[in-house]
Amino acid sequence: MSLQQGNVAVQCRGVKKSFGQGNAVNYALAGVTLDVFTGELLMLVGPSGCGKTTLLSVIAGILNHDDGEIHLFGQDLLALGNNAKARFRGRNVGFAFQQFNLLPQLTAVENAAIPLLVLGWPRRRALDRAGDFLDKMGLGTRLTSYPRELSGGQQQRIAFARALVHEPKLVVCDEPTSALDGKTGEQVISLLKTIAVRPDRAVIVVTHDSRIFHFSDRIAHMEDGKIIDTVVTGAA
Amino acid sequence: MNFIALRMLVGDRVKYIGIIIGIALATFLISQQLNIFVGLMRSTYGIVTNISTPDIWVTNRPMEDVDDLRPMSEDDLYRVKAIPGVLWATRLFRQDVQVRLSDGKFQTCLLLGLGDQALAGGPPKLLGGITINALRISHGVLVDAAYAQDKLGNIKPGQTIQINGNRALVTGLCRTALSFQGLPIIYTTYSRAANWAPAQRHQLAVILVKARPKQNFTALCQRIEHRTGLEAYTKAGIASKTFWYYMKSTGIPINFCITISLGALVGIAIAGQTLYQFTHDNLRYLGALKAMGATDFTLVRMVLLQAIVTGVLGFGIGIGISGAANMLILHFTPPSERLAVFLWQIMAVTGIGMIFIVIFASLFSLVSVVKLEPAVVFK
Repeated sequence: MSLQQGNVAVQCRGVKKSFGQGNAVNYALAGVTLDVFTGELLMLVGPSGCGKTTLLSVIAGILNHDDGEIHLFGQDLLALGNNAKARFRGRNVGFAFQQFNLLPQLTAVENAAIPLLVLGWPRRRALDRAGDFLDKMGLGTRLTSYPRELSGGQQQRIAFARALVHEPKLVVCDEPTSALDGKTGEQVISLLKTIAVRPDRAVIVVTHDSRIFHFSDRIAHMEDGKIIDTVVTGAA
Repeated sequence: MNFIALRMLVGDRVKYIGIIIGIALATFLISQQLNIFVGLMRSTYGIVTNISTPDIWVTNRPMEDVDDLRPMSEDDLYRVKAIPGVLWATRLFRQDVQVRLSDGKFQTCLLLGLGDQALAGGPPKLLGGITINALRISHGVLVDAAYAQDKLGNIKPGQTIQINGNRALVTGLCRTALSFQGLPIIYTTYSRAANWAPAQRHQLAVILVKARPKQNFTALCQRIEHRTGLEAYTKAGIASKTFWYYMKSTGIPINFCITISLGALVGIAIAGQTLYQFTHDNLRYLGALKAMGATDFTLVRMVLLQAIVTGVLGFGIGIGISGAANMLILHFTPPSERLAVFLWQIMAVTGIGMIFIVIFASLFSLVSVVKLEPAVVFK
């Protein structure tokens, strides 16, 4: 099955986003058109400041775009109010951040359970589910460890568990390997590829790290706020 | 999410304890100052509390406060007695006198003389099983037990003192409310008091009135004022007038208000600043929660929960310290100087004040949480 035969998960049409006003206005996105399909791992690459993270933010619904259309699994994000959009994100989007953003006061399993708690799961059930997930990711013995007690690779794995534990349809990762050494980076992205990519889910990874490009199914190159090229790498 | 909020709170111990200390300090300052203020203001109408029985107090005009009375003529007593609705009316003598103690020292005291026949208006509580008739013993006086111990040389029943050079025999002890001036109160008969105190043209300070059953006190007061030209008050009315005289004419409320406000400001400043700092330090994580689907309402609830938990703990600790401080004060202060009170009403008022302080302290944090862009997690 070729990639383009999957369902469209994310549909961007002429998406624009600017920051600042007047003479100081800066177009971070200058009319992005892009489709992301279920079952694929898409990497967004490009030089610093080209708008990769901004595009990831507007696709994930944590930043409003100024113009154009974004449909996430058919839902127009701009049509949703703040709270409805938050609930939509909670159900459908999983996040993995560059700096992991694990709550230092929570243990590994508690951190991984956050999306379930946000969705209103009972605490016990959420912790059990998160524990199972961490076990699958090889962290079964570190459930009660705090982030400060874990290595960078282990922290990123917890972050992935947190991004996936609630079975989201879209997973967005911002520079997931930038805080890790090369070997660990490869290990965690390999794990992400294995666990996250499913026929009913799309995964978008923003990265600078060319060492992990071969894990992608498709690479979208950005420059000056636009997609200049998409390449099917065919890793799938 | 409450669980996450609480874990975030206790996980940052320095700020957690800082917020609690701020609120505890404010609670302590506010409740302690309120305790003293209420005790002090209660003492302003101490004499009203210390004269039992009568329904209505009649004084000469004008009367500003119950400690500054202009004596009336004896005729006024009979004019009051003649007014319909008055069951009985009796004299009350009130004057400051010099008392010479057994060790030769002098002490200014408040001498109260009760109408000789009925001895109505005696102290609210008599000690040692005596009755007011103890005043019928020749030269008999009753003194407050606390003052007897602290200011009258630990005098006991059966011992004598000299009032203005006249021998007075302590025939019993009583318990009275503290007076604003802090003078020991000595009860005796009206005629004895009038003889012992320095002479004045008129000596009748107050006419104490007992109303006939089913009388409307307010209507009776108006009738007395209308027919005699004097001023008549219910017991609560004269206490209230005295209270408000002190409130309006002295710097007491302003001073206490300043201290209480400072306490509140300290609470808002410390708790608010620390809570804001705490929220600010956690903005990245709150942003992550927001990105993961937590609504503004959920985050606001989390911040409020953190504020309420620290508020309740701080309030409890502050009230506890305040109670302990009161116990220490009670232990080390002579009974006759124990002005501070410790009332549940004050705790309630302080608690309500703390709720406002905590809410106010949380405002800046709440604003920053609501304004927080979840995209901050990618910066």
